[in-house]
Amino acid sequence: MRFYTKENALIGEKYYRAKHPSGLEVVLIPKAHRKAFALFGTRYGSIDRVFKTQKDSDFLTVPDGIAHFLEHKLFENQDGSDTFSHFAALGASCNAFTSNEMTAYLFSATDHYYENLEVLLKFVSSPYFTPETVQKEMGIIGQEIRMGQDEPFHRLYYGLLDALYVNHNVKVDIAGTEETISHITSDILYRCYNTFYNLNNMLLVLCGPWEKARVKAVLDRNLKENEKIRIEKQTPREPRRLHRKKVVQTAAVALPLFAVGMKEGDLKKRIRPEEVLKKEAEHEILSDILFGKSSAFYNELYDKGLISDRFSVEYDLSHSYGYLFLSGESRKPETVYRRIRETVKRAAELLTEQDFERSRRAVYARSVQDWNSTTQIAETFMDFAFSGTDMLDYSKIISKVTFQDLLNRIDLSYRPDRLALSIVKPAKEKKS
Amino acid sequence: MNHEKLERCAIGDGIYVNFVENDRYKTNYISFFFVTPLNKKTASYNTLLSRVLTRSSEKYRTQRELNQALDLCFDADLTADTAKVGEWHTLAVSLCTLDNAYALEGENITAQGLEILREVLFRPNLQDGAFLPSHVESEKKLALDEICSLVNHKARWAKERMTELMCRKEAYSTLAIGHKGEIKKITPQSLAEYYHELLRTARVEIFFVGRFCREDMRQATQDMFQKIVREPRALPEIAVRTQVKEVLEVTEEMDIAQANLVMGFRTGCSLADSDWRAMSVYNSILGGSLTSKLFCNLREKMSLCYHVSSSPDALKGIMLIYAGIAPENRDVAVKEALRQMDEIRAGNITDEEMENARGALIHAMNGLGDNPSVLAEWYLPRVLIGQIQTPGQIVAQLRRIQKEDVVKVSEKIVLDTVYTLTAKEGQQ
Repeated sequence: MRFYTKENALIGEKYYRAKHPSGLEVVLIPKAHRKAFALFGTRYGSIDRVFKTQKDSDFLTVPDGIAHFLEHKLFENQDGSDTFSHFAALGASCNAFTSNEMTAYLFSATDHYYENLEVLLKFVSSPYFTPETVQKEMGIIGQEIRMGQDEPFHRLYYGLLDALYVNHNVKVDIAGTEETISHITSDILYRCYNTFYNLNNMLLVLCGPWEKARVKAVLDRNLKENEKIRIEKQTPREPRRLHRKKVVQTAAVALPLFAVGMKEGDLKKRIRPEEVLKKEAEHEILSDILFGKSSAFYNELYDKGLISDRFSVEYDLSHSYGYLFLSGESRKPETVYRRIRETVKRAAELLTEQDFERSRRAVYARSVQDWNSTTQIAETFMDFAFSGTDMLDYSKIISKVTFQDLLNRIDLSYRPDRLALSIVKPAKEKKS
Repeated sequence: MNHEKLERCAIGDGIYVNFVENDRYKTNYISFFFVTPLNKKTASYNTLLSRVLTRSSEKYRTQRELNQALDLCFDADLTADTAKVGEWHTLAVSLCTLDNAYALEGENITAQGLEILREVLFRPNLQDGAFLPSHVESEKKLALDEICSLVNHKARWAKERMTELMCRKEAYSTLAIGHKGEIKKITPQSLAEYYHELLRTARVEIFFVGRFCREDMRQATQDMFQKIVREPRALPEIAVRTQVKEVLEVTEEMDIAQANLVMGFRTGCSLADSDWRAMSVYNSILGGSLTSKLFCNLREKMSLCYHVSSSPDALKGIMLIYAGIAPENRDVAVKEALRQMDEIRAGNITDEEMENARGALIHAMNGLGDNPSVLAEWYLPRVLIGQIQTPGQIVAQLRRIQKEDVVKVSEKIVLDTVYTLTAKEGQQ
C-alpha cells in the first residue's frame, strides 16, 4: 500500500491517501492536535431502501430505519462483551451515526491510538445478530424515535421534506418508525451488512497525530481482501414539482417554528467533482448574500420583529436531491414565507458586486475554519469524499467563483414555484 | 508551544488577562467574561445587555453594518452569551477570528477583530446616555421569546424545571437567560446605568487562546479599561447545602410522547473541595460515560431508554440524573437508578468500571486543549476560585484516586427532588 500526498499550501493543509489491498481506501490528515480521530464509514444510509449486488438476482426492499438499526447492532459482540468498554479500557470514546447517505463509526483517543484503531476495525468487521439481540434494541430505538417526535425542530424538518419530495426516501426519518423497525430481522440485517460493509464500499479517515507506517501495519494485520462488489441501488423517480406547498403540524412549542425549502431542479447525473464543488460554493455564497446575517432580508425582518437571531440558512446538496433550507421562529411564518418568495423572485436584481466580494471572503474564511477540529475535519472530509469530491479543493474553488457564475446559478436553481413551507405551531393560540 | 498552561496577570483592579498559547488551530479566540452574583436582576440585565451590545455600536450604527464588518474580518464570529457558574452569573462577549496566516492580502485579522470587540464593548450606541429605545424594546421581546421557547427542548426544559423546584429557596434556581418579570422592567436608561455599573464593579476575566503577542494584548486591554474608575465587588460565597429534610416529588404533564425523568441530588462536594476529583470519578462510574452503570443497566440491559446520564455542577454541589423513558417506566427507572447508586455506596465497583471511568476523564482532560472556547470556559470557574491547575496536573491526580475515595464521596450524596415531565393521561 503506497500513500500519495496532496497539499493545499494556501490553507496549510495536506493529506496522505492510499488504497489498501483489502479494498479499503484510507485517508490520513496530519494535525498537531492531541486528540486523534478515526472515522470508518460506509456509503450506506437511510435512503438506500431498494438494492442488489451483482450476485443477487432480485432487488431487495428493506424496512425504513434499518441502516440506523444496523449501526446500533454492530456494537454488540458474539462473546457478549460491550464495544464501548473495549474503547474505554484504552481511554478512548467511541460513537457512530447514520445519515441519509452514510453510516460511520468513530472514536477519539488521546492515547493508545493504534490499539483503538484495531478495536474499531474489528468491531465494524464482525457482525453478530440474533433474534433476541434484535428484539432488545427495539425498546432503545423506540425511545430514540419518540425523543425525535418530541423534538419540534425534527418534526419541522421532516414536515418540510415531505412537502418538497413526492417519492424520494430522504423524506423518511433516518430512524424509521416504531412500526417499520418492528419488521427488522437478523436475516435482513446480515443481507444489508454483506452488501454495504464490503471494504470496497467503505472509507477510513484518520485525522490527528497519526503515522503512516503504523497505520499501515494495523490495516495489514486486521483486514482481509474483500471481493469486488457492484451495488445497484434503485431510487424512485422524483418529479421536479413539489409534493405539497405547505405542511402544518402542532406541538408543545411556545412560538410557531417555520422552515422554508426550495427544491433543487438542477440535478445532472454526470457531473465532474469540480463542478459539484463549484455548485456547492455558488449556493453557499448566494444564500449568504441573500439570506445571511449581513443581508437586507435578514436585517429588515429582524428589525420588524418577524424573525429572531436563531434564523438560519443552509444548502443541502447530494447526488439525488438538493434544497435550500431556511428556518427560524416567527409569530407570522406566512409573512416570512412571502418575503422569502419575493427575495427568490428578485434574486438576480438584488445581487451587487460589493456583497458578492464580501460574502465570498466570508465563505472562504469559513472553509478554512472547517479545518479546526479533528472531529470536524474527518466528518466533513468523508461527506465530501462520499459525494465524489475533495474537501482540500474547496477553498480554492470558492475563490474562483465569479459574479456571473452566481447569476447563472440563480437561473438554474432559484425557482419560486419550488418553494415549500413547513410550520410547527402551538396547539392552542395564546393571546398575549 | 502546544500545551494548555495558563498564564495570567492583573491589568487593573479585579481585571485579569489569561493566555493559553497554542498554534494547532486555524483561529484565535478572545473572550471577555464579566462575572456578577447570580440573581433575577443580574441574569436579566446581563442577558439583555449581551444582546444590545452586539446589535450595534457607535461606529456600526446598525446590526447590518456590524455584521458586514465581521464578514470583512474574514467571517469573524462574534458571540454574546450569559451563563450560570455555580451561583455566579457571567456575561461573555467572544470573538473567534481566522489566524493572520490565512489572510488573503496580508491583513492583520487579529488587530481588526480586537478593534471590533473594543467597539461593541466600550463604544456602545448610546443616545443621551441611554441605549436606543428601539433596540432595547426589540431585544427585550426576543429575550422573552427565548425564555418561552425553552419549552421546545424537553430534556433541557425538564432539567431547568427540576433546578427551579429543588433550589426554590436558593439563587441557583435562577435561569441563566433571565427572568421574564425583570426583563420587562428594563428601560433604555436603566440598561445604560447597569452597563456602566458592570464595567465598574464586575470581576473581569479576559481569555486569549491561540497565537497572540502577549504584550500587545495586555496593552490593548489595559487601554480599554483606562477611563473606567473601578470599584470591584467581591463575589458572594456559593452556598453548598448537604441536608435534605424530605424528598420532593413533582410530576407535570405536557403534550409529548416520551417522559423526561430528572432526579436531583445534594452531593456536598464542589470544585473547591479536596475530594472533587473523586466526585468526578464517581460521576463517570455512575452516569458520565457510555460504560457507566446507568448506561449499561437502564439502557443496555433493561432497554428503558435511549438517553441516560448524570452530571454534577462544579460549584454548587448538586448532581442531576436525566433519562428519557416511556411514561409507564418511570417508577422502574427511578428504582434502578437509586439501586445503581447503592451499589457504588456498597463498594460494588469492578476494576474495569473504575479504570474505564478514570480513562474517560483522562481522555477528556487530554483533549481539552483541542478546543479554544471549551478550554477558556473550563478554566473560568477555576480562576474564579483561585485553584488553577493544568489539565495535565489533573490527570496526575486522577491516576491516584482509589475505589475507597469514590465510596467515600458517594456516602454524602442524598436525593433531594424527583421531577417527571410526562405525557398527558391517555395520550401516548
